[in-house]
Amino acid sequence: MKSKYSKSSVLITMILIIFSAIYLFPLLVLILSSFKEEQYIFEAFHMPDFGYIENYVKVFASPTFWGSLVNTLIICTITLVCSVFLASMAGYALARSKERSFKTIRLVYMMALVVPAQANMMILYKLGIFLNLINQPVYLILIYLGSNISYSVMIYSAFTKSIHREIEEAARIDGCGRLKLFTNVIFPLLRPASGTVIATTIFWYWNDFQGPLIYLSDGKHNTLMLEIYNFKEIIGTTSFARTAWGPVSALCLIASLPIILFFLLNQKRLLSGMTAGAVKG
Amino acid sequence: MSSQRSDYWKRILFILPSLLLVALFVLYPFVQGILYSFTNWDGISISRFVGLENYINLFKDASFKKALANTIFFTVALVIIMNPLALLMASLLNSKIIGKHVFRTLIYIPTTISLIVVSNIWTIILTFNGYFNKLLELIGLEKYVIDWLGNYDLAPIVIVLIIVWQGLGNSMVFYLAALQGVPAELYESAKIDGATKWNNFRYITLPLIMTTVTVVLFLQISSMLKIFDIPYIMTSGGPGDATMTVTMLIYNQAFKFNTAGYATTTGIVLMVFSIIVSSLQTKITGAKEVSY
Amino acid sequence: MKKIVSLLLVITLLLSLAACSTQTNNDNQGETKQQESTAQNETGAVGEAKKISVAHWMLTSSFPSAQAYMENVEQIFKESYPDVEIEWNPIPSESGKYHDLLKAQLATNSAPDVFFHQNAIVQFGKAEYLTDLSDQEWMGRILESTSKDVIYEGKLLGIPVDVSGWGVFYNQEIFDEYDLSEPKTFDELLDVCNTLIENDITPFNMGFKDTWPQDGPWLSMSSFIYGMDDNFPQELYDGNKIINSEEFTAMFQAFEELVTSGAISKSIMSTTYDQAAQEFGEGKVAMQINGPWCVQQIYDTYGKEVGYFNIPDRDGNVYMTSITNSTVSINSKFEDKEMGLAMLKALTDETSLQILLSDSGYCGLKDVEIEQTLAGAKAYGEALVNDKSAMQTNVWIPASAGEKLTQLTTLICSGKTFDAAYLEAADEAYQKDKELLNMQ
Repeated sequence: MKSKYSKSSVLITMILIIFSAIYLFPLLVLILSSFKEEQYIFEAFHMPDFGYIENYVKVFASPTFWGSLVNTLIICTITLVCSVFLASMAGYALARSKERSFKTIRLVYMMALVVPAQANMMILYKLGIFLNLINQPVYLILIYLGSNISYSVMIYSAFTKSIHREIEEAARIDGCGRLKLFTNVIFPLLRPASGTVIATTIFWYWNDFQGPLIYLSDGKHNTLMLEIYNFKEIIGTTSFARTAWGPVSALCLIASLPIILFFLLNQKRLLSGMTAGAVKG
Repeated sequence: MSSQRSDYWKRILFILPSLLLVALFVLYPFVQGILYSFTNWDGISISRFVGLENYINLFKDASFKKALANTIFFTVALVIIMNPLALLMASLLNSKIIGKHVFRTLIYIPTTISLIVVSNIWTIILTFNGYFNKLLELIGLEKYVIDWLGNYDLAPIVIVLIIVWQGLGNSMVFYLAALQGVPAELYESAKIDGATKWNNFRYITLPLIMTTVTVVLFLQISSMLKIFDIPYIMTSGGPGDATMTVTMLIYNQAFKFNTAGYATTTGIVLMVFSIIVSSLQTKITGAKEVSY
Repeated sequence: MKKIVSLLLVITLLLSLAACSTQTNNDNQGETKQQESTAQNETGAVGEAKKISVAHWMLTSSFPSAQAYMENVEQIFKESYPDVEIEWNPIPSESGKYHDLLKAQLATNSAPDVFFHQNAIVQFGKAEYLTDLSDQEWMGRILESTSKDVIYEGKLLGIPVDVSGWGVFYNQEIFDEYDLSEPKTFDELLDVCNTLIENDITPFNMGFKDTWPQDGPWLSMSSFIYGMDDNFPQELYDGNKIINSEEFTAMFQAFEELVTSGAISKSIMSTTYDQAAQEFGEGKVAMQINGPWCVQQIYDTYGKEVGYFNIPDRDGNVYMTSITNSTVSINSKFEDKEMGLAMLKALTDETSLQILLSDSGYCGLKDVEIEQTLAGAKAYGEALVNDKSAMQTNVWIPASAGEKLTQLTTLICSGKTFDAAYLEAADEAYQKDKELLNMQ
């Protein structure tokens, strides 16, 4: 038997270290920049004074920052919760129904997966105006649900199929109605699927930029990502704006930490859930 | 009602909320969009029916042709660079070394952060007096110091590389899971038969991970055809029109040029194009799938 | 069951058709709402306080003169309408999306009674959102170059309050030190640049990374176009000329000369607006293609005085172009026209304007001269009124064509040569979108 750490192991480790440096370095740049004064941001290798917390102060003092944090949390939570409930129910119904109409409905969901967001932007924008929901986080939640639920439904549907029918039949015989059957028996069994759905889609909702850019455009209802983009100052009497890179770097860091933390804590489940479908086909 | 019929309606009720959401926020706008693509709607006033004029103009539109060419370039370049790299990294991580979880995590982190954060980080690094150029100077390659994002020929490649940096972790973990699913005995028996590393790869590994390749390629291509955030924030499509993508063009058409009807036209054409490309891709790679 | 599927399709179709007639529905709704509120106002006149809402994106806490301006306007307005309450800034403006909100509100008839706007005269005029002011006092006082920004189909629909354009702002100290004078022809400008380069000073750097400054060059070099044909905009509209012509080619080739001679900084594409301002303030860069908004900023931050000149063409023709940054209009749905006019008078009263525009702002009313303290600001103001004036280019070409011109600019900056294909593309875009312009 070869020793566990053969020559090729060492070589591989070295390559990985170099690669990791390419991955670590930009993150370090972000951290460094968040402590720099504005004129040094673009000056490489100028070590900042880590006591200079002006940038962070500016971020926290921004009137829209705390609102954007709250908005992002609310939007993510509500979207995820609604997603899980609605998609699991729909996936279950799809998996357990053989009628023609359900086959057509499945087709409808698949079509929705193909429509690009950009083709609908302007119209959804006008629809938001018409419904008087434009620039309200609830509208973004509805759009997220509409656009992404097909994906979750497919996951739940596939997963439901792997639950044996006997369990349901047994409960039915005991006099359990469909709804009770679902909430008490099926849904708990769908937990891994729920885990996958949450773990994959949370990144879309937390990190999304285009959606808030278009549908939350009044500056009063930012999400964290929109806050980063909007962290600009207006010049003089014009409507021109310039970016303040110091606070923006600090804000980028603050906005990314929660989601990175979430990832670190849930790595195993996230990665295995994600890849399971792809590997088994 | 018989219990079977009432059960049917109960199941319909289960599916109704999500179906309504999809119908209202995806399908209805899409149908409406198709209708608007035949008008000269400017986003505010009542529009006028113009028939196929938008479509005809689109196919003559130099901006669209360039944006489409750019988008195709981005997609092809990404696929060519990302996949071998991701496979390589996955196989490295599939071997016996210490701390592979750390490496895997590190490479995956950029996938978890927002594209706007990624754009800001790399903007700072690639600026003319920024880290990357200073690094080049340090190792004696001053003559290669240029304004990376301000160069017409290189800016698109730089953008692709940044997208690769961000997305590598994602493809890599898929391939890692796939590689882990290939039984080791196959390699051992092949070794006994005197197979080379390349033979191993071509005849054992590749066919068995093909299902994953199909999925990964599909995800890469379908998202790359719609790429918006990174070029929008880093170069706004410039310099010139070097990094303008189709979705950026749609955004400009709708919100900057006040030609909303035209924008929906472009969106529909893009969608049809994506469907064709993705269908072709899944057919081609799907045919090569082999299960063990 | 097929029933359900067909039901779904029918619903979708109905929704689409319904939405198509949304416009008419909204108008109908608007009218009924209007009738309701008029009824309310009539009964209200007996005892309740009336309100008037005024919106501007600039009157935020970050604009120092905002408070003083609003107080002055209130004072004047209350002379005629003492009991009316003014609701300021119903539209939030923090992120620069003021116009999107305004358009949304106008579409649903919930917009403010009096509002400021920018670059929207064609859209708003077509949709009849603005009250006609042609028979009022302002008609004869409009600065010619602003007429296309406020007059639509012969009707005056708004008052041009804040006007400015682009040009070259130079570091006075540097010019004095090297004995440089404002160039009267383009070749003189090239000479100035050469002298600066010989002395290790970068002639021009702007913040192209922040995108909007990229429009600067082609907006500020229009003397090349007007110098050859001062009726170019109309000729273009009538189809006698095209963008891919000797005028535009001459302009871009001149710009290319600036780039190849080293007059434009090599790192311009990755320089932010602030970085460029810093280099300018610290004396590393001598000139900027910028607007008058930079004069006060440079003085406040770096204590430097700046001078101003327009870029002349090779024959020495100089045309001063500008665009209206903010126009104020009365909402056409606002019933009390007299009150609206009184508010407009208060907003555009000379004392009010003096406060609003004191930070290097200029007025679109010919007879109102805003006192400026800084030499550069004064020079700009004089040029605005005295020099041959013309429409800023982005007033007479649509945004989609302007985008191609900006792309050509950045292309040249990135080191490539002038490419007429971009002008051709601009022509295509022009033909496609010319009905969006305020031209006849």
